Amino acid sequence: MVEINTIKNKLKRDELYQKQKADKAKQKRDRRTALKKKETSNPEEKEKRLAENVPNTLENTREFDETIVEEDAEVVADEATDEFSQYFQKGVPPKILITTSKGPSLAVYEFATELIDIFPNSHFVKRKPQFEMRHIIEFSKNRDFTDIMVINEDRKQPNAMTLIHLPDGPTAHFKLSSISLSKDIEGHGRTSSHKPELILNNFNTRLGHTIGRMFTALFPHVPEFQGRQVATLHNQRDFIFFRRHRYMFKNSKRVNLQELGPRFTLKLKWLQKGTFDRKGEYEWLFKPEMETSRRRFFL
Amino acid sequence: IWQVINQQFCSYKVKTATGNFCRNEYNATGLCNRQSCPLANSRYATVREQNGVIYLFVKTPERAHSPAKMWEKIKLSKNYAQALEQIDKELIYWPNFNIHKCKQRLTKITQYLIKMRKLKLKADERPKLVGIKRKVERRETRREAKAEAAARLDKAIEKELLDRLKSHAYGDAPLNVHEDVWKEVLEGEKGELEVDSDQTDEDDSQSEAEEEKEEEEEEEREFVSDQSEDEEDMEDMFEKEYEHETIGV
Repeated sequence: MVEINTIKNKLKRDELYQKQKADKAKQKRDRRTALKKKETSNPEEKEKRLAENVPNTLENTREFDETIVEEDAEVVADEATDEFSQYFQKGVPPKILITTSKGPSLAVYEFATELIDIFPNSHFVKRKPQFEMRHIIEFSKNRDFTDIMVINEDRKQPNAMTLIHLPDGPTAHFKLSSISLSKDIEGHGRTSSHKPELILNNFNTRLGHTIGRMFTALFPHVPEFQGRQVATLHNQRDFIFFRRHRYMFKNSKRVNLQELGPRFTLKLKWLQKGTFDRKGEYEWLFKPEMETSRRRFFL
Repeated sequence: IWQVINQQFCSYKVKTATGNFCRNEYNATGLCNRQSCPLANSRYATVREQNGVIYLFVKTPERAHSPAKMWEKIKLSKNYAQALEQIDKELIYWPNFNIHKCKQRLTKITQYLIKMRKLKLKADERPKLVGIKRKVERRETRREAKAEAAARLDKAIEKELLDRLKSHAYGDAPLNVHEDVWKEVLEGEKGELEVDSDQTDEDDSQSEAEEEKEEEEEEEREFVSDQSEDEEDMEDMFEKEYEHETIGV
């Protein structure tokens, strides 16, 4: 067998290399078809093969985090008396105020319109230049709002969102990215005014739990199932993906989903105890030097 | 000296389309003139501020021989009116040009210091500008794309919804499912229970006829004993958990 890389003639070398590539691909194809044939008649073999060859993913090999919550009675007790007890224990329905930073642009208004649609019982208020954050917080407290959402923008596009839970609740600041409005989504559905169901995935650590509860407190307690709308906040590697769908059970194994409404991604930048105060106490602050390891996640 | 500076070369002189400027810090106006050149005049005065404190700098011909001690630094009062009087007092009998320019400088400096102090107080309420770190941004966009791919959102949502359906979280007659599909789910569950009880039956060794009869009875019995068996198993598991915990502590 001549080594391909020793042939000096480019044409001949090319030819032999292409032939070698085709041979390899053919071998792979043959192996896979044979395996498939064997496994369609014998599904246990497939399961055995899958069970033996579990690939290492970042989620599988995540660095041990002591704050991951797993059926901890202490956490349950803590959560019964935290700042969200108004929502969870007393059943106060959410009332959300949505505003923007000063001098917003069109994209921000469009995004705000979508947000009003997502959260039932939300109100949009135009930001007046004479009111600072502390004034806004005071006014909303007087009018019994439970949450404030402030959309921040940079270069005419929304880039961040601050979520303030009102009666002295925590303040979370997220970086907004990959916003796509419903009109830009292909085949999107029309929303109805039914209260959506909520799915929160992968909020594992203590910090994740706080954020998860914060999101839960934005939606009404009892969803209207006949509306068949579901809003999902899925945390993967510290990125929270928001999606909204209308679902229909096709049979007991398949669900059809039609995407409604906007999609966006949030990444938590900091969490503050108490309402927004630049000099206040930060419960968690993201710094790029914290991401030393590819397998380390905080939420 | 002026002839040299003006005609030949002065390192502080800046020539622009609009006129000549003097970059010397002690110049009372900013212009390069015979009257306002601190180098060419042996008697000169300016007002400057350092760290928010305003001083009057005076140069007299008596100290012209010692450049290190040439400028006399006099601290002016924080009160604007008193500072004006101080200037008048220090520069008494000086040409009006110098006094006037010093007072003008004093006014301007106090004004901008007041403005700076006001802004600092309001700094909390102004939006804080944070630099965009290019590397961090690039890394985050890439990681977001990979996380989205790894998340497989549609599959996760479908799985969650099916789990909720199967765990009866929607109640016994759910509004969000078609009747046929719900029946299918219920039948699926019944089928699983029957399969479980069938498997336990096979372990017992009995005659077929008896099996048939006892299957029906044992299905019911199995059903009951299944539940209690589960409870027993759970208790065992619970005890095992306890053991683990104590070892851990």
